[in-house]
Amino acid sequence: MGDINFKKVAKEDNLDTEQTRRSLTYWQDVWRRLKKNKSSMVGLIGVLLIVLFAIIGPWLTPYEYSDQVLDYSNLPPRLDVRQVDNLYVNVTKEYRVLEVSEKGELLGRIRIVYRDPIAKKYYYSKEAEIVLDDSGPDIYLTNEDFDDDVYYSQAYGIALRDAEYPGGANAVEVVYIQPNSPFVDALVNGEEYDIEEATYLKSLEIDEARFGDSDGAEAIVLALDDASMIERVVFGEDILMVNFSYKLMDEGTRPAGYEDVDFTVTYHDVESKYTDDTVMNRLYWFGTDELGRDVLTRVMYGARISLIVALIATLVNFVIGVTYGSIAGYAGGSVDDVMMRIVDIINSIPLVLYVILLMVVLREVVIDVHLFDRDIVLFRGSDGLGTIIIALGTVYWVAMARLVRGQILGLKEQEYVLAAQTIGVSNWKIITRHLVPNALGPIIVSMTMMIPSAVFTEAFLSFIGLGVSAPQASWGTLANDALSGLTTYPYQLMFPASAIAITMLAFNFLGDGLRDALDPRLRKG
Amino acid sequence: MGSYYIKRTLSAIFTIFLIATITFFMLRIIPGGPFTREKKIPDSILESLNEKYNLDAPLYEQYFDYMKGLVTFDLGPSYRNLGFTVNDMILAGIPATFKIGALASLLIIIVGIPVGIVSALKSNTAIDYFVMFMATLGVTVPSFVIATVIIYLFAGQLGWIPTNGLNSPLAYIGPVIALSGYSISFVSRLTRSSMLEVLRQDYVRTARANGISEGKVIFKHALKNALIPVVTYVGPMVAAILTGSFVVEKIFAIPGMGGYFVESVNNRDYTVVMGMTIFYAAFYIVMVLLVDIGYSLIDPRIRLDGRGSR
Repeated sequence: MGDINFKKVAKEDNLDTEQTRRSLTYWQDVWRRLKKNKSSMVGLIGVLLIVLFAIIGPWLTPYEYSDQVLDYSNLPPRLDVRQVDNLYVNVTKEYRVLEVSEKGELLGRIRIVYRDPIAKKYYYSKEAEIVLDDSGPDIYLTNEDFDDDVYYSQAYGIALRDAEYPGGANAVEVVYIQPNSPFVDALVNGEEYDIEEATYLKSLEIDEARFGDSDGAEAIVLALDDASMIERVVFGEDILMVNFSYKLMDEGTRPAGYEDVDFTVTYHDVESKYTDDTVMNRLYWFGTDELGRDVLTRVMYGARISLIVALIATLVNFVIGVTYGSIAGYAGGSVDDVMMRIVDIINSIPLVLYVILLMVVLREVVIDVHLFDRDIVLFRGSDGLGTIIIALGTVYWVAMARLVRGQILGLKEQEYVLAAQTIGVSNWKIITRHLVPNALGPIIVSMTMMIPSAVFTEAFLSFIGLGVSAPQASWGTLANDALSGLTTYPYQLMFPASAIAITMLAFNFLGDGLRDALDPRLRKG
Repeated sequence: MGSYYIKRTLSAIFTIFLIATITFFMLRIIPGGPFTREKKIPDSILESLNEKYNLDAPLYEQYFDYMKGLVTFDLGPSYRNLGFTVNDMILAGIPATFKIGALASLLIIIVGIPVGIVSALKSNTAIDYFVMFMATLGVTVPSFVIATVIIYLFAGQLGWIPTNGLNSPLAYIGPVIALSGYSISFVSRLTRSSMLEVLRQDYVRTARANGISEGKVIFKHALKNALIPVVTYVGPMVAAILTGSFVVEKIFAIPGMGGYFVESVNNRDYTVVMGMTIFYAAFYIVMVLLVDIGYSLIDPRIRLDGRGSR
């Protein structure tokens, strides 16, 4: 080894090799560590997306969470489309026929006009009208359920009765509709009337009546200039027939090659035996629920409710827990003993029982004040939202209190606390300025973990029927509502359930990462 | 020595008493009383009902009556199911609830712990990642979702198990899995992390250095200590199973206590809510007490500390 192996280095160059780096504050360091942790960044992005979904989502959908379109109830996110002649149709599981475009946009419902339950053939028509005739003979009703002045039209399953409506003119009252009759709502002078509402219509003439399911429709009053009778019902040429009898066939008796045929649709003598295409439901991306409400919109509003409940409950827990814990920890001695004994007792029973009990009590409570000659309701327990926030917020602070107390017990022995005490800083200020900020790391971790468990508990409560009340809905309520139709419409449960699971996962990942970042010593193997 | 057990027992009794008191007064401050319904009940009927259930008496008298009943394990009548007492309903519900609860607990122990051990021994391998992924899913997916997915897949689509009731051995599969899913995941995560921690301890390294076989090191030296935090979880596990049964019994239509409880909450049957809350709380407290006493026998440090380590 000679001198050749070494090289003289100038002094200023030597300085460069010394490691220097910008000093980081605690929070910068935390952020740096958090960024390194992949799963927690996934969690953070997930949380941000969920929050965006909840805040912005409802503005972007064209629907309100309570908009009902009964014709479009229980539609799946993907539609089976059949092409018959020039018509694209979707036959729902409830035997409704919907007209769709090739791309999957819903265009409207094709009303059912006649059911033949024995042959399992159902007839649908886009257009149908009632033709009125005052000359034809009517069948006098002999059914003893009706009064003597009731006329009964066997062919159309409609019972008619002469009546006088309050306006004074003669009227025909439809008092009974046979279960299979298509008479549900009527178009009178261009205005649509719902038969189920049994309205007196001030009209002189029925132009046209629409046809649809008549289940539940029992009475309607149509006012006519004279008590003319319905002569016949014209369905027009556009009859679409669905033959469900294939559905009943065993594999052995089905025609060869018809393995996956559920039913056939016939329109204009063209028969469709197979589903032609499965397309996205363009109107309702996540489908609709049993009242025809958009599931996507409801899940987004549900996100709002669930997250608001979780967030406020967590904040309330934070305030109570930190106050309680820091007082106990800072005071020490017998105050601490008594306060922690109370915490022990609260902690020794399952908290869900407390929450259920509180919900049961609070939902009956109404607080109102009498101000300026008006009753102002401050709190109505049956609304659910405030109730659930109070119930969750006042119960789950115990863990937070314990954690804060433990932290404060250690921190209050530090010299800077002694220094503050020496110069006469008040106890309250020492707690709020010195102790709590220094215990913030574990507190934040605990709060991050509290949010998913609040979402969880809220979903649980809604699920057993103690949640927010309709038409508002949290994820838990949505899941509960979807339960009855689970086997037929599983997607209605899938979406809110996945929303809950994704939220829980995201917050848990973030919480784990935050714990590692805030206090590397706690890192688990 | 004995004083620890006496103290723990007394404090458990005191806690049960406190819960009974709080529950009683909370349900008494509900405006309108237990007979408020959508339809107004005639005053005369209301009066006779009040008289029958002693609701006209001053509050403290009712309270003492109720407490007297509690001491003799009499939880009073149900206000909605006339002719039934709360005891009847609890007794009717116990067999089903306890059967699925016991099976779920068993499943948690025989699946959760071994899975956690395997995952710790194979840490940072594909097995470990898979187990931890499943365990994270199990902790984050609510039991009602697990239950409904089971019903949809195995009862609905595949038809392997019945959708409701407990009439065949196969019918137990759904409720038991739904009930234990959360705790299995939690226990396996807990076992894994505590096992990993113990395996890093000096005495384990010493044992290995002494040439003791790997099986002996794991089962004799490591596992015993690794299971301590898992044993502590038994208390919360009882809570998870109790409250989980509300949902699971509702979904699978099992005639158990949880189902009755949810039903009486929705029916506003306040005496049943009160009685069952007290019963659940008492059951939980007694379970935790038993676990703590058993636990202090295993680990004397707790007894000397004078306080549970939870």
